[in-house]
Order: sequence, then structure tokens, then C-alpha cells
Amino acid sequence: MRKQDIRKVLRHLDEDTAVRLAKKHPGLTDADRTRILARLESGLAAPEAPEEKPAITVSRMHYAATVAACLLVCCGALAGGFALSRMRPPEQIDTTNAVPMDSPVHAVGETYRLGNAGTAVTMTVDSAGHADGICYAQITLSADAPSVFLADNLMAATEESGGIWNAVQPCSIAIPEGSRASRTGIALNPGEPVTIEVQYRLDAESWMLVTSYQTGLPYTQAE
Amino acid sequence: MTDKELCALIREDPARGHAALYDTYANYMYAIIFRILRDRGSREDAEDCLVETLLEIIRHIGCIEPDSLRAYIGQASRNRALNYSAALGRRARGTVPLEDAPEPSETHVEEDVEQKALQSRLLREIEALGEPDSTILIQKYYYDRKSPAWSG
Repeated sequence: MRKQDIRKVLRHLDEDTAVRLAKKHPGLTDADRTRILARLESGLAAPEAPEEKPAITVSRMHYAATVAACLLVCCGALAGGFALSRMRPPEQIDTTNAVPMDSPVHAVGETYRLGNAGTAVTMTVDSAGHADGICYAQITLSADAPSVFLADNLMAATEESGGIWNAVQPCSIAIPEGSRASRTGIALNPGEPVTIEVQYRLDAESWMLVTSYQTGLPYTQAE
Repeated sequence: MTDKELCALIREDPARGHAALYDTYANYMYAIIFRILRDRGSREDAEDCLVETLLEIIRHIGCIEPDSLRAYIGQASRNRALNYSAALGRRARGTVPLEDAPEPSETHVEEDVEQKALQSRLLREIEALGEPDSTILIQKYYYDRKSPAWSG
């Protein structure tokens, strides 16, 4: 086996295997210990700095692709009948039921409808329970329109963590019409409002729309 | 030392408590963090993430149930590493890297099973080499360390 093959195979260890491996072959040395403890004490002595919340932006490359597609249509591409349906300008998100970032938190179990009538996606957020001291919020997404909906990076943030976004499970979910898919998010502090963010795109190949939707959720520990 | 004793020590004697927290959980946390960050970040990024996670745990130690300490530490390490990974991806491309989102595992079951079998076999073969060869191979090919870094 070549060196690069060994690296490649070891690169994709699952977490359990990585943790078992670390018991016999730890990744930290004595020198690391000394340095990290010193940094830890220094960090505790310093005032806690607020963390920067990651900004969600539309890819410049995707925006440029949108502009290029619109120019092609304007130049009278006859074959754009099919291409147009795939390369449409970014849709405006139907915000009728959208919840602004600073809105009051909503009850668990409410359904939020995203998108316009032709590409509606419903997000339902409810409590899933409590295990091992970790609180979970169950997020269910369903598409009720003839388009494939791919959701990536379900993220959650709590007030106590300074609104720091935790990418609870970066993933792709393909939801064909009429089906449902669930992903679990995590709230670290029960009782704190949690904001759930869903980033999604309209279909597997049309990268024209990349946006996010946020809602507030008061999560409480399950009884 | 139990987790309950560890939590108490952190509150009562912070210096000793922090060292005990490190000695008990640092390798566990680093294993989780390094596994997530190794594709996008450097060892320095993994260390930064480890330090920040330790700081977070120490600052919230009063809110953590001792019985759930290990679960909390694991999840906090995971979350922070994922944040770091996302931030590193954004710095590299200027946007959230949706293109790198992994496919749902249902579509790659066979490949996953084959990969796991290959990993298990490779790790067995490496361990069968004995010391110091197995340590050298793991440190070099998994942790990407140069030889003097772990031999000293």
C-alpha cells in the first residue's frame, strides 16, 4: 500500500474509531500539554470576547452565473425554454410566515412555510427529547411541490452561547415531492431560545438560490 | 477520578482542576476535533479549537451535570469543530460551502462498508507491527506529524 493510500484510508475514520485510536495513539504530546494549559490559563484570565457570527452570503460565483444566464435569455436563446426553467433568476422567498431574527420566540410544533407556491417547503420544529444531558430539537422538512429540495447545514444557536451558530449536522437532504426528511439539531442550554437556520437550494443542479430561513424556538428540557 | 470529583475540583481548585480536565479529556476532545478539522484546517487550528472548547467547558462547568460531562464535552467539541470547519470553508471561498456537503449515507452504503472494512484491516496490520512502528505510522499518516514532533 502506498503512503498516499494509507493517508487516504486513515483520513476517513469515523468518530468512534478515531476516539479508540487516540487511547493508544494520542495526538497530543507533553509539549502540547504544557502549551495548551498555559493558553488555557491565559484565556481564562482574559475577558471573554464575543464570537463573530458567521455571515450567510450568496456565492459570488453563483451570482455571476445568474447574471450570465439572464444575459443569455435576453440575447434570445431559443433553447432557453428548458434552460430557463433551470436557470431562473433567484426567487423571492415568501416571507408571509417568516419569522424575523429578532421576533419573539414561537412555540414548539409550529409549522413554517418557506418559498413561493410553486416550490413550497415546510419546516416543522418540535422537541425530540433529552438524553445524556444534551437537549435535542427535531427538525423535519417536507416538500409539497414538484421540485427536489436539498437542505444543507441545519444550524442552531442559543442566546447564552452569544448566538454562536453550531452546525449541528452539515448534510444534504434530497426531499422529493411528497416525502419528508428529518434532521436533529442540538440546543446546548435547555430553556434558552434557539434559532434554527436552514440553508437550502432549489434542486440538485440549479444553484441560483441560496438563502436561509430563521425562526426562534424556546426549547425546554423534556419532562 | 470520577466526573463528579472532577467538576468539584475545577470549582474548588481551578489550577489543579483544569490540569485534571485536560489529562482526563483532552485526548478524547482532540480526537473528535482533529477528525473534523483535518481536511480544512491545520494542527494549529485543531489546537485553537481545543483551547476554546476547554474554555467553554470550564466557564459553563456550573451548569453541566457531572453525569453528563463526557456527553457534553463530546458534543461541545463536535459543535465547535464544525463551526471552525465552516468558518475555514467560508474564508477559503467567500461563502458557505454547500458544494462540500456530504451525500446522504443511504446512497453510499456499500462504499461505506468497504471503507470501514479496509480501515479496520489497515489498523490491525499497523498494530501488528508493534512498537515503535505502529506509533510512527499513526503519528505520521493520521496525525500528519513530522518525526521529531512526537519522538521528543
